[in-house]
Amino acid sequence: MPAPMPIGEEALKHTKPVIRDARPGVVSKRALCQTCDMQCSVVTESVDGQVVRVRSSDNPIFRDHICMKAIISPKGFVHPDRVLHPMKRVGERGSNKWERVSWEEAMADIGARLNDIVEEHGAESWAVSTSQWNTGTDHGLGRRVMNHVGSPNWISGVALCAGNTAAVNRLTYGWFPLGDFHSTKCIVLFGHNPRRHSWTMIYNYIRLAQARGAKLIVLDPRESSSAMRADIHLPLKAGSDAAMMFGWLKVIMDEGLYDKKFVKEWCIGFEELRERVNEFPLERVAKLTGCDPEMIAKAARMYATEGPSIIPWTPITDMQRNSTSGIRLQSILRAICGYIDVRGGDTFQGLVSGIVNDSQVEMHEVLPQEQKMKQLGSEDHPAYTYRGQEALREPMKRVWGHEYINQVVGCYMANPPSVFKAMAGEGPYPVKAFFALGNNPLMSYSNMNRILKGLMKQELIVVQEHFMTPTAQLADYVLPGDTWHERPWLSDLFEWIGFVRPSEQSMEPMGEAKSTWEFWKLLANAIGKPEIIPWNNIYEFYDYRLKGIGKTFQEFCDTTDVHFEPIKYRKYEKTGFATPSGKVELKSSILEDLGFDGLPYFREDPPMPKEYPLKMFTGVREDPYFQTGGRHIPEMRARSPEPRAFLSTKTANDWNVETDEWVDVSNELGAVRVQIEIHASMPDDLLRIPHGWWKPEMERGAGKLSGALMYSDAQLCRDDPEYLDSEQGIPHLKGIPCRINKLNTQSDEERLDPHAVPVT
Amino acid sequence: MLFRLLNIFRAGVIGKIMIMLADAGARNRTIFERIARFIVGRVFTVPKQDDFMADAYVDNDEGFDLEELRRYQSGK
Repeated sequence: MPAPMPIGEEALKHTKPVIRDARPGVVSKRALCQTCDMQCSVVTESVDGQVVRVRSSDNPIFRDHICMKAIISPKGFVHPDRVLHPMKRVGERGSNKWERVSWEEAMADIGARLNDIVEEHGAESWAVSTSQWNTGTDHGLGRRVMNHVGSPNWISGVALCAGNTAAVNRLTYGWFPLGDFHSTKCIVLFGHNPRRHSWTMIYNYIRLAQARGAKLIVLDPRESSSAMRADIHLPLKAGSDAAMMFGWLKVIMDEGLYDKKFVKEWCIGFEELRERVNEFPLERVAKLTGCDPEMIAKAARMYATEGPSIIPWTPITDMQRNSTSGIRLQSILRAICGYIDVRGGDTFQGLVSGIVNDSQVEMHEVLPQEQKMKQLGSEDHPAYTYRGQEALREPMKRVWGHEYINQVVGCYMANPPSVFKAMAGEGPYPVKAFFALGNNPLMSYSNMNRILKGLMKQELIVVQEHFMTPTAQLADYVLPGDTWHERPWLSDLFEWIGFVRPSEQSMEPMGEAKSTWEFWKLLANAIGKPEIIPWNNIYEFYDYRLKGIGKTFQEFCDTTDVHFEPIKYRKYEKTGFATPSGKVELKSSILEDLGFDGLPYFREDPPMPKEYPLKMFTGVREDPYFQTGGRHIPEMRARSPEPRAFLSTKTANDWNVETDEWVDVSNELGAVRVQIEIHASMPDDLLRIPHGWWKPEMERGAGKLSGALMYSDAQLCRDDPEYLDSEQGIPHLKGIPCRINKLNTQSDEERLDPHAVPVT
Repeated sequence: MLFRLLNIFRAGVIGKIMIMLADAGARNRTIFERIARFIVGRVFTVPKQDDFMADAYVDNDEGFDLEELRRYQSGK
């Protein structure tokens, strides 16, 4: 998630900071860090063509927006194991036998084989997974090529992290809003815990807001650092976000704390919603969430009366069984309390005029409707697919000027579990070619074993990466990706935040590394469709995108640090909302038409299996790492050397485990090995399992995958219907049944036997 | 100072002045622009005791020595 800008409402259109005097022999460049998704403004310092330092921006409004991951990046990117040349598999898939080839050779073979697969199995048999961060900043070219070839099967980690939130928000009021941290009076964090070195900008804005008197409500099973600073901390049960919001709505409706004028003029479905909310008296909500009813009521009143309030996007509600209802309930709270598109509330920033945005580059209009309807998962879980967003085409055009606006790249995706099923031969048609750019899909979604099975069945796997990730180890080709030090960038903040910012290229790419943009350009040529990407290079492409504001990319860099337009509030008063009705749809006509309940609801947890009496949650970041990356950097590894599970003292005593003890955590899908860490902040019977662990130094190749088969949390993440959100089909990662197995002298079979370890 | 100013940013006039100063401070060429930059810097500087962004890892960073990076890259 890119962070909001620090000044967002007046006429500051162009700010070009002059970099402070550089040391002799040092070349400084202004860049946007792309190590994670925050896009912090930084300055790189290079000596002899090599970036040797990354520091925070000289622009006072971006001061201190930097974390340890950016600072260490010069060392991380010169790691001796970095992939610097195209590599072709020469042994069996996963045998870790490679030969170096030229880019020309690699792309010619990839193009020919992709054409053969498309001809034999149809364009839909080609799937692509990208993160859009790190090496994945392709400006929509990937979708553009896929749309021209005819494949709708593009997936991304944003399916369970912000992208899905964007798509679901639009069902209610036709846009994905952004919290105005700088003027708000109350911030609500659902499980999110921004820190100095993780979500740095958001952490800064929350602390600034609190310092000027804004209230903070934190809903988190743990007593996180944010919870400790909060005015109210509701330690809700993992995965019960939607139930909690029903409780808030009950209080707000019963006590008449909502914005009656806004509801009357701009909302539809209020009375039906009220009936649904009445099914959730506070006693029931207290039981579902495990929180004190008085505190629930107090928090609801604070949100509704201290406002304007914001509920910033949170990855936590994104990853639950009731994710769609949870996201919709957040939208509904914002709407009925009158906090939509107002100063201090959740604002609709819209698109920046004059600039060609990523969605336009993607050209979704050229993909035939017949192919769109083949998008995997759209039949059962349509919310963020073409089918789910189809009814928004006309409203989007009416209000925002374009039929297809792919906010946070999450609004026209295939459903990842459905794609992996198809790759494994369990779908409506086979997927035979799989490309992964700048991410590590084997470990980034649910049910890793199925993903592994799917990968092993592919006819062609192409990976563009920095390192031999577990996914790369199974590829046919591993192509060297450039780093954010080595490429320019024009960020339009994913059509979510109304700002455009340039990032200068700081050094030449190492070895034969190329940008993802160049990869797509070469692929278009290799499949015989060079006309798809008519620009000769990325600078020409940027010039095209900026033509509407009368600048070349170089001029834009020279004159602009951040480009935006003055924010206008309550834009809906002129245009209506970008929904089929033009109103805020508290009861969603789109979900109803797709065959779902138009009102939010709450699916309770299935009964806990006797063998797996604990719950685990995963997906929480560790400061030194971003997702599955960064574990090759010695300084970062020293800070967080091993995957550690957090649990309470009581749980540790119950399971007879101690701090630093290695155990296996298992469920029906598998087991992962973790080191125990007893944390006072953890509630009883809940485990925190770290996300994305593998060890680059461990043995590569199938059967080992550098420790991924031992440590990766994705092995425990379920994708059966009980553990999927219905409308989106995203996995429930916040409350998965599991158990602890002590490691002892028993054999693996005995140790993993559910009856082998007595529960005291 | 910072929080008080941010709080009244919405009042309009002060907000506009601050934006004008930030705009000028960003250019940092003339004496006026340098003064503007100084003012903006002061306004956005949190008192040390309240500086939740202070962090030894960030504050003490001096980057890497080029030779050190090259030795590391070559596995030495």
